[in-house]
Amino acid sequence: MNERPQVLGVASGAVGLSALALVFGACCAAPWAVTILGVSGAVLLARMAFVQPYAVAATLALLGIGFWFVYRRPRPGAVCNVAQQRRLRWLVWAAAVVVVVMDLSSFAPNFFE
Amino acid sequence: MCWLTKNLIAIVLAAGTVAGCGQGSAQPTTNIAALDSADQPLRDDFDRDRSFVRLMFLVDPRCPTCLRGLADMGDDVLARLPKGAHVKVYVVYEPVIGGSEKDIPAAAELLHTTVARHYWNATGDFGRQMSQVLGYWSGSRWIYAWDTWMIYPPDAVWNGAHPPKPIFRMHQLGGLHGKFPFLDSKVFAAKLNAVISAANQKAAAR
Repeated sequence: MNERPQVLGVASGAVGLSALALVFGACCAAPWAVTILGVSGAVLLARMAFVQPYAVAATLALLGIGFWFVYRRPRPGAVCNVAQQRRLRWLVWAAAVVVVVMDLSSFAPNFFE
Repeated sequence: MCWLTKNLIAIVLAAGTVAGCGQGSAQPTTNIAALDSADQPLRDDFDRDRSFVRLMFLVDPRCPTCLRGLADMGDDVLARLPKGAHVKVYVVYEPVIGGSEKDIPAAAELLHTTVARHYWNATGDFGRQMSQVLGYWSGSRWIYAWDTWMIYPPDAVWNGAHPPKPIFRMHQLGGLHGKFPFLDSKVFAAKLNAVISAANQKAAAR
């Protein structure tokens, strides 16, 4: 069974969501929000900041799904493409590193006040 | 190619014109007083307004969380004050994450009020003073006082070197979680109304 689309989907979803968490986390301690979005946009972004921990939780859930896809035991009789499976495992691990770094960074502003 | 270039130039010019119009639409002017090393003119204003309930907000005019706080104060607190309420508002802007004096008018508009007075503290010394006044000690270091929202009763007087301690304060600082109440504009409004009622009762009893 070809799991490439599912794995790509969850990996890119996790990376995208963690980028969003980083934006929500960093917005409130960085002046760039006012420069880019204006005062009203920055206020809106700050009001949405409560989403950040939920977004982080969702990224971890997506990563979990990704790992489940690439490490689950193949069904008996299923054709196994070993090379592709290895590439997908690399992809999920790479996504995991990016996601963890961005998720942790999104909490960083809390420790610099 | 030539057609494309011409159109691109036209679009850029039109965008520039629109942006120029936006800037030209007159914003209400905001009077901004510069705080000196003796905290003047805030100190004089504060003591002159004795008999009023006074609110003091410490913010950076480029900090999104502070701006959200200002917007919440405008919507949930100042816009709902009873008409003729004896309340004065002072907003002290501090350059914590790069805010500057030119950012103040846009931030001030969020309060939707003309009764607030705005002060720019370019050195940031006021936040250090207030940190001591408010007891912003995290256990290992003093936390700079900003993103802080305070209520002073009518009898508060600024007669020492530092500003007086407020009767109530809220903040949005990560390092103070659990030590002082986190900003909730509705709770702040309820507290303010209680202080106003107490002040009115006291005045009526005299």
